[in-house]
Amino acid sequence: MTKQYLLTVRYFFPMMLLVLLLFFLWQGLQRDPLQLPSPLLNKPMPTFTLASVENSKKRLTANMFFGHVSLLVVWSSWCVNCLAEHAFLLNARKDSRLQIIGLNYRDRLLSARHWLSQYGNPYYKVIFDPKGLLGMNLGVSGVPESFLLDEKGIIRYKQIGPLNEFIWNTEIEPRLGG
Amino acid sequence: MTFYYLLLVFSFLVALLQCVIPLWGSFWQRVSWMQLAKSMAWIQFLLLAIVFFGLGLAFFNNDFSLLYVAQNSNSHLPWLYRVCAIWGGHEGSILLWVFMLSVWTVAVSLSSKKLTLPTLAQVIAVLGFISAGFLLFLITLSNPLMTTVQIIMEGRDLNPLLQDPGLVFHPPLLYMGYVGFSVTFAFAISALLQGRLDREWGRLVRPWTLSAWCFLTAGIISGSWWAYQVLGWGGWWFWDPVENASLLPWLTGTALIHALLTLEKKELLKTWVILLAILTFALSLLGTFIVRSGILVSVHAFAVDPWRGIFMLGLLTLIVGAALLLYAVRVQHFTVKPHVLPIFSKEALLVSNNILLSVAAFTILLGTLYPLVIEVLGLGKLSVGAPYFNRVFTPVACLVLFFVGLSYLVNGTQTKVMQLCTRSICLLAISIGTSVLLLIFFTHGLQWKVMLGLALALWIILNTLYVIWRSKKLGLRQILQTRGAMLLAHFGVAVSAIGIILSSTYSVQRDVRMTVGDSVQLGVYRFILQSVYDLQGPNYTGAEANLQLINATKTYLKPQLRYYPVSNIALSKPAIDIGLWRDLYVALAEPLNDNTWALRFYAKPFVRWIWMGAVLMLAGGLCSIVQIKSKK
Repeated sequence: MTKQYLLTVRYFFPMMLLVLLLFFLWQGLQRDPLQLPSPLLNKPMPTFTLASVENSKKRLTANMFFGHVSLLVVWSSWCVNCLAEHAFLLNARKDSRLQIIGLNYRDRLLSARHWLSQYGNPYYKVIFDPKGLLGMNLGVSGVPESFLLDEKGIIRYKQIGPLNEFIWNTEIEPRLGG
Repeated sequence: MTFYYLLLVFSFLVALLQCVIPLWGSFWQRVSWMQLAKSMAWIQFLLLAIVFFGLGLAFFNNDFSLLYVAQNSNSHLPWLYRVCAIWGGHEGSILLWVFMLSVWTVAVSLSSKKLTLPTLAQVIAVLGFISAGFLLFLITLSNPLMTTVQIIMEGRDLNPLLQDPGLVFHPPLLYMGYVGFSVTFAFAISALLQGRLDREWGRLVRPWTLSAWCFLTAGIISGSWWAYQVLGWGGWWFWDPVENASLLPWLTGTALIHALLTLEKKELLKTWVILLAILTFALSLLGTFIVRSGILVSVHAFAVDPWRGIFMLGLLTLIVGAALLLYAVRVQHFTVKPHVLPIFSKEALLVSNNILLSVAAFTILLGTLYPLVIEVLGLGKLSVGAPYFNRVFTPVACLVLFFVGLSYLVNGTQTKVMQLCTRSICLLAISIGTSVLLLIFFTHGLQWKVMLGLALALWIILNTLYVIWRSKKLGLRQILQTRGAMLLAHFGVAVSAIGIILSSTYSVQRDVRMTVGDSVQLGVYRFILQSVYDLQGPNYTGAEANLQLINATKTYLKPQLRYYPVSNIALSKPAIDIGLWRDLYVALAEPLNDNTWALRFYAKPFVRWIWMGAVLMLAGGLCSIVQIKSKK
């Protein structure tokens, strides 16, 4: 009787293995494997010396991030999704708790200027990075991307993809403090 | 597009009926209900063909009102890539999957003369069930025909990595393979439902399994070749989760082909064959799931909606879970003859082949899912790389090579043990000797691992030659007719093994910075950088270098570095000088300043043999199908 029973049970082994596998797959689905914390998180802003989009003779450096909470937004004139977050940024400019700084990434100077005059300029200053050098140091994988820096110029948060009301309320607002 | 969407909904309903009506018919023995199966299969095929054609047309005409077209195409894209961009994204590749399934279903109904009506009805019903599941996914969560109210002037472009002739062949071939195992699966379910499994079943199923296996092999070859010549990393296999996902059903499918042979000849391994048929299709589904849910980090994965992953996991659970439950309950009803396997018999060898291939598949599955398991258990993040896979896979592969060679010496069920031992020792000694001599002569060194691998590959080749030589008495023709397919496929295994061993051991790589006019030495080859100039493609800009190989033929190599502005991706397109004995491979990495470039050079001996061997295996599979068909 027991032998017969054991013989029957063994046919259920594949099923049990499947259940185990499904458990792990199910748990795995709840996580995002790409969501690695950025290595730059809680690190200071990489140093750079780049021209400004508004005035090509003016040099901008990482010093501009000191003394102010800043939101660094990576954008390009050829990027369709940047337009999607643009209206939101124009609105967010009114918030006096932070300065919004643009990083114009892999773009032409004239198209960048034209884009800003056409759609409005939400930025306090815009860094011109035609070869994507600063972008590379920041680990930018696509546009738009945004970084939130505290008044000491330390990166506190990174957002991949366009900003919106929801991300602002859940991720940015709590980090701004008072 | 609403029209096409309606057709898609309609084909879902047809798939449901295709599942329910024939199945009921087979239970209540209603002939007319069962006969409906065929026409349902055809209707579904036609509906899906129209939808597929419609989506293709939308891509061809740059209809960006379709969200899926806007996300995966661009009007500057050459038309062939535009059309193939159908399967460049998530939704379209699921559509391709379902379409392939309907192609296989129609193929079953076309060659249904040898099937009994209940079997045909049940097989088509199971295929209809799978199809209904995926179609429900398409019409709810993954609709490729979604329109957008926004006016989009230009599409987001196809991922540049996909803009290669590889896109035309690789996904359809691979999916044909994945989906093809559903036919074997459906036959297994039908056998479980009827509680009957005999030699005839094996004879019916083997051509289907072989066809699916051939497609999968072709899919893997094209994928590996594509990776080699596009990604610019100079490798042909990366043990990436998605590559593993295609290798898993290939290994179990290979085991299944051999197990079916045993079933057909000796009526052995009944429960194992059924389990293997279910597992092979389960692994195909798992492969689709891994690629399309983004659960593992991979070069193939894209961020996706979490609900999609949940739905696909549910579908996987339903299909495989139901099958395994049925297996557990019904498989005991098969009549199993008590049988003792002599150690030196064909059957024993086939069983050992099955064990080895299953072990190989299991270790790869383990390595692929290990990072996930560790993460779920909260033990941190890690990735399992090539070293693990190489270490666990190599011993199994060596044993497989040994047994493949041995299989030629064992003929019939019982072989004289003494004779077998002397022959195999002789041939082994000859192959080891040849291997040592070749290595010392060509490389002036002797690495024992390479020597062993090469010896095992030579051992298969020597055995093949021995069979052909001995067959002079029996008639070469007869041998080729009865065993030709096997000889060809196994010879292919040896050729691939030689390619893998030699190219992975003796490849040379150099990263250099060069200015125009510089030359570089790589082994015995010398390259001069003649010029670098700008490149203007239809949807990319970039640079092309012109390198001359200083040898008798004065070959020019022109690697490119392309920049795709729409998707903001830079892509290096290497130049390869192809040769039977070695490939020379140059990739243009990045500009260091105006005149200086970083370049990467590889010399890869025997790398071409890997694919040559795989093509021989494929040819073996095809021959085997022809053999079965011509016997009838």
